[in-house]
Amino acid sequence: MEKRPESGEIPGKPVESNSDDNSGNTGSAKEGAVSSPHRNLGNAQLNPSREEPRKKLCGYLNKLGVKGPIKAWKSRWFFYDENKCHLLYCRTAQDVNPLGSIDLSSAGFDCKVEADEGVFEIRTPSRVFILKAVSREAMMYWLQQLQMKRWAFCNTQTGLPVDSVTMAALPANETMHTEGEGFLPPVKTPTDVVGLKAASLPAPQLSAALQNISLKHPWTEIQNTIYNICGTRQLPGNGRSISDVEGFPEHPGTPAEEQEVEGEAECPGREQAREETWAGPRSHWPRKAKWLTSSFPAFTEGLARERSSPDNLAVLQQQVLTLTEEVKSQKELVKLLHKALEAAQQEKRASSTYLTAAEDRDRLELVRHKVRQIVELSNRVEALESDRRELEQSLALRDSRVEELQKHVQLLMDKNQAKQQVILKLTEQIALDLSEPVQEADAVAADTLYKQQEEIEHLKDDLDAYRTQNRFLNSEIHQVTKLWRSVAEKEKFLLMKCARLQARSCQVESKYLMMLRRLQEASPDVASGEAELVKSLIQEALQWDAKEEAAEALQLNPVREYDDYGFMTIPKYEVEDWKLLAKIQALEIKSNNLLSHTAVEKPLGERWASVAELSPSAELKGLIRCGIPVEHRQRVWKWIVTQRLSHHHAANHYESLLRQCERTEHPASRQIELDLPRTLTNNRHFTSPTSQLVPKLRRVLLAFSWQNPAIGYCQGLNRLAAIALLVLEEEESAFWCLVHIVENLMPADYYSNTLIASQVDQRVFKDFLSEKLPRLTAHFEQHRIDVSLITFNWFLVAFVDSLVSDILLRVWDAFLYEGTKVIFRYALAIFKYNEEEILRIHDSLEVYQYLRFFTHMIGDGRKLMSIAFNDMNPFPMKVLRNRRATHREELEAELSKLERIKVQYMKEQAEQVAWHLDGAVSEEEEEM
Amino acid sequence: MAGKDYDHLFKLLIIGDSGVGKSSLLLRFADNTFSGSYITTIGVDFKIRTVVINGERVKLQIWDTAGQERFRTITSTYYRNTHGVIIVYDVTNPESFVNIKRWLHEIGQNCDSVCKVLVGNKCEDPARRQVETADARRFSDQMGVRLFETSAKENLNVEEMFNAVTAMVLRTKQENLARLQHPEVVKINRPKKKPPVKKCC
Repeated sequence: MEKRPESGEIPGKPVESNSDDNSGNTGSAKEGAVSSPHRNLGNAQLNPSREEPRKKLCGYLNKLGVKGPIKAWKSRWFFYDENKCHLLYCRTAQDVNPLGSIDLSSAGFDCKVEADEGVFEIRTPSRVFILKAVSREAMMYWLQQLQMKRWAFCNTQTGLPVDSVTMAALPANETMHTEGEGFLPPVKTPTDVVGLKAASLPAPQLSAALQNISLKHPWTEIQNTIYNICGTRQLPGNGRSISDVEGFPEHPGTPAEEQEVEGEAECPGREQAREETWAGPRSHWPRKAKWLTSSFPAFTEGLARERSSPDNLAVLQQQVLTLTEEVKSQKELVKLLHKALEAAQQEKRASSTYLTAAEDRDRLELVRHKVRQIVELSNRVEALESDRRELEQSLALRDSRVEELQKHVQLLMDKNQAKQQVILKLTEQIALDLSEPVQEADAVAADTLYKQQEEIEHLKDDLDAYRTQNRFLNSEIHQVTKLWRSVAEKEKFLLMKCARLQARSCQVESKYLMMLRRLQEASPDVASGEAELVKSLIQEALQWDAKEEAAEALQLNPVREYDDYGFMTIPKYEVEDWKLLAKIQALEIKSNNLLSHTAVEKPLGERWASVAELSPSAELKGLIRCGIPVEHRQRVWKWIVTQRLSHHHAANHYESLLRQCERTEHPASRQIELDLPRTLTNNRHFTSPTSQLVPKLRRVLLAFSWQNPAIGYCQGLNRLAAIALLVLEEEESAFWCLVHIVENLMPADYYSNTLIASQVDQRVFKDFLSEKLPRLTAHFEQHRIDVSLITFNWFLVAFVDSLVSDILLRVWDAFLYEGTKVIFRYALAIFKYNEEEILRIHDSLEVYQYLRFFTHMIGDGRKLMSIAFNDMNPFPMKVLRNRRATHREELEAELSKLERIKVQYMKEQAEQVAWHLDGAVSEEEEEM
Repeated sequence: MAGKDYDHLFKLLIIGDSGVGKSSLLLRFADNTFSGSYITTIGVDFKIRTVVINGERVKLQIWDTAGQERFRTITSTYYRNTHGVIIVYDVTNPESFVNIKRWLHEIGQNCDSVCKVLVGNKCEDPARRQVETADARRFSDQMGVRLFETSAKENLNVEEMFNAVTAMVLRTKQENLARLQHPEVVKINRPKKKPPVKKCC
């Protein structure tokens, strides 16, 4: 009974001799083992009757040690943890603490043909695990199971953060069952190498047990060993039956035996292994018998009884058979004796009649009769004899015939063989001829043929392997793509959500900053303590900026430093106070962009995508007014420019202008050179010293100075050309765009020596302003504000450097298509946008300061556009033209008058050289 | 305008050839920074700074103008109500120095009398200098204008120059006030036959 507890152990597990030692941490090891593989294993294994709800994925694999001093295959027990989607491994199935784990949720799987059979890889972001299964089938089983586990895990994971609405749209709902077609056909489970049953088998290569010990995890190893020792040594002496403690059933013998038998049958190598683990060199069967008898004597007895009865039966049956045989032969004998008896009786009858015949005559008669009978019989015998001879003859005849035919057949067969040989030889020759045009000696040919055949076999093998790999990789790709897609879908949703939240946060922050600014402005009236507080809060808000920027490096929608065209998103303001405003504005623009992205930009983008061929139409005009999406802008601008200019100039016009630039230096080139580094300094394409755009800009401007010598170069053209270059990229296109603006869109003399048309437009604009915004005009008049000081350069450079790039380019879209009217509309819209704000300022200096930067503060481009194209209606071109004409007349008259006065003044100046008055009294000094 | 935060408000105008550093001087004075890549000024730009001269708070509105010649037709309107003009040339660019005469002429055309200073900017690098201080001094003496050599880049003499102009304007204003209080002192030397095109100062 000493061995009784061991019967509960898994057979095949090395059993320690019961030396002693229940000291130490048996109890704690036991408790700690609750979640250990051992425990799980025990439970699952020993409830075989219950249908396992889910097959547990586990089994022995060889793992290639990477970091240890010995780089070799190590046998490891691998098992899958569903909760974490980890593949854990330990040295043997019975170990408590895993040596390591592989995170499958982010892993990819791969098998390589070049590698040994059964070798596959699990690639996690951090490491590549190289594993080896016993066979290719086992490998495929593992790979497939791993894929399924990963899929199942990822599906359960995706469900969590996304709400149910989007979940419905996600492919994540699709399960393995419906998706089956995409995966490998299920591989048959190689039961002998995976699954819980495999745990009962000793780890392969156990003979080299030391080799398997993980050098990397000495502590885990020790723990496992201790656990094994303690787990095994559950002595009955400590008062509790092992089955109670370990949860084993009372009589695990039967399944254990079954397993053993199964193991015997399937894993012959195991016996040897076990023998080594046993102390003595005892043979297996006796040991088993002993074990059985010692454990279950009654059972064994019964077994013995059962075993002897069929033997007896066989013996009896044998006996029956022999006896039946005997009976049969006896019967034969009886029959023979009957015949003999019959003959004897006839003889007796004949002799008795002979004896009974009284007279000689009668006897003679009888003899005669007999003689006759004898003759008759001998005749019959003779006839039969002759018959027999005849038959023999015919038989001989037939024999000879058969022989003949056989000979014939032999001949034919020989012939056939010869022919086949010839055919074979010829085929070989053909094969040789085909593979080797130069005929070699026969032996060599045969050799190569053999080699080739071998090679073909190899290739076939390879092909097979590659096919398997291909199939697997296809399924891998399929699954990974699916996973990726669902993740991407999720990401998109989260990004959208994030954008919305960020927009909200931006709005809140900008409102907060605005509030702080208001408080700061009001601070003279506020108690000093509060003013201090406001100041510190502002400082804090500005410092957030720096911190945020540092932290935002990894954010989803960071405020990018530069936009699509290379403009800085947060302008660099020199003045402290403005930094706050710049921040407010950047936040406002960002929140607007974030919000409008899905609501407005997307449908617009779709509408643009559907515009295949551009042709002038009211619809296109409306579309362009809304702003051309970045991806279409270049195409549309090019179309607008070429549409309006193509018939004007020769194809190589630009090149010839460039050649002219090389030949002769235009007087404007000095000014151009001065302005090049001062163009769009908030754009990285123009500030970087290696920028390609600066030389391009130079050439465009120089070419233009020859294209239009009356203008040559006017400050401001640099900005126009620069914007054209940013969008159109191509130098020549930008040049034509500049030509289009100056010669088609702007009135004549807009950039010429007197800038007269520009000045005219300022007066025209003032007219429109008083008409459209009378309150504001009155306000300006009250504070003697000359808006033209502000608006002059809006018109001259079409808002470049005044509006935020995003809005600027939208203005330009419409401007290039419709002309200067757009500038008027937007200029009015800008004032309208900020009307209330301006009306609140009652100091002329303050108004000027406000107007100086207020264009930069416009964040809502959509609102501005709506004002420009809706609120400012009607805006007839005719009125504009008429006003331009009248103002031009007036201005020209004024200028000529001024000229006359100047000339006169010069004369007087010359006369009054002697007069030297300094500090003439002036009453107007006080007013400004 | 109840809570006036200044005692005097003056308007100063910066003129000079393109690229001599007008905007940089203003940037240095108003915001005490320097940017090597300041955008070209088109039309006009203005900045404000308050300084204290002799205990008086003087708010300066300084106008920065475009340098290219064709913008002069518009700049002429900027001279209105200007108290002081800063004429800037580039010491590394003799042409800009030669053009001073034309700029002085321009002032004469637009203003009756105004405080003026001559400023040679970009003096930080002697190797690149092409307008000698002595020549400039001679010329400025001849014109009766004070000369300053500044560097907006290295912040040399900028503050001093603006302060000097402000002081000049302030003194002129105070003298005029004094004259107004004692009208008998005022000598009308020049008969006001016709006012200049644009009144200023």
